[in-house]
Amino acid sequence: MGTFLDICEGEKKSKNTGFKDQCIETKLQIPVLSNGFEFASVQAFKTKSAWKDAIAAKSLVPLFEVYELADASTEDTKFESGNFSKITAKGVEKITFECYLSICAYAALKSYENNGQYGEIFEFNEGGDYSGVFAADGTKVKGRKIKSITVTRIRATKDKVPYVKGEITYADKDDILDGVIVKSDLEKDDLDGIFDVTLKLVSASSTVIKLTAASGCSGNSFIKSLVLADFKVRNAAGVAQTVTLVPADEDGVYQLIGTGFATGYTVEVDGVVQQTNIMYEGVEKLPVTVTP
Amino acid sequence: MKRTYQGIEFADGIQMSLAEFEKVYGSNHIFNNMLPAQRKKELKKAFEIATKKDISKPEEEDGDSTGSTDQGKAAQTSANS
Repeated sequence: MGTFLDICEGEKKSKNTGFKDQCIETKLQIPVLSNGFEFASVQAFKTKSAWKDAIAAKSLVPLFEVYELADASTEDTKFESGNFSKITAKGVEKITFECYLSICAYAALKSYENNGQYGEIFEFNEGGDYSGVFAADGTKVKGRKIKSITVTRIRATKDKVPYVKGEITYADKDDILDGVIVKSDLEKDDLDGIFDVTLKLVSASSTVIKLTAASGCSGNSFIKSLVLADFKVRNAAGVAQTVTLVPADEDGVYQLIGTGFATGYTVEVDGVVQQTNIMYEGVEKLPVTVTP
Repeated sequence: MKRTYQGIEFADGIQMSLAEFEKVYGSNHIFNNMLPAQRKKELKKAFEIATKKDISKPEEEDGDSTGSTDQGKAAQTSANS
């Protein structure tokens, strides 16, 4: 009986090198986390609405614009003795960056640090080009696998504003060999994350609930563009109620009109509201207290 | 088809008299910005949109379920000027 060894790759096939004009991607601008989402094809990858839908479904999470991007990758580790050389550990692709964020935005970013749900990343670049990699079927497009994303906020100093120091470590530095890099009508402004909406009760009677909807850290940026379908009014038993909506006035006050409103009713923003240039999601249900 | 008037989106199945309608809806900012005579006329128009049984049929008078009537615009303009 002979020996059997099947642990090495076969002979690599060499490719032709006839490339005169080099088409090179630009620098990372916005990392977009993915929960393993796959675009059905390169064409879908180039379709803005497919991105928007995936963001609304929270399959994709656009992070923030990165600055001071730097490479912190490590080389392959080799064992060498005489004329013998063997790679004992593959190098790691790692990038570092800075973001200039409020505490609220930092808290949002921090929630994705080592978040087991989002383990892949698409990269939107400064030149408007963006990239992913082919999935195993060679047709679908997915994000590059990452090993970790870490962020730390550094306080303001004499010479610098507070900033977030970030680091992304990729799982496989060579998966980019299956890269898909495209350009389409997808723009940086299409990659805003979902804005939290906080509802605030102004007043409530048995027929009219007056409320405001606001976003922003301090909740003082009024949203006046919500429509009836964006609200859900429920009675104390959780049953949805039929209501009329009077749009927001100049102070941002909406009126929900119906019958039999009572303390214990709730109003909520119904799921992720997808508008042309922005998306909203309610933070929590607004409890209604009816005053006579 | 939605029942809308000047951005107000009415629930289906509203059943009330015009007087009740005026009481519930007359004080919101859509109608408050109108001159009294205009307001009464526009409230009646909105009432018809809100309470008409079959909104797929055309309006009887000069009603417009989109709420983009010239009269409505004129009322808004005069109120804002």
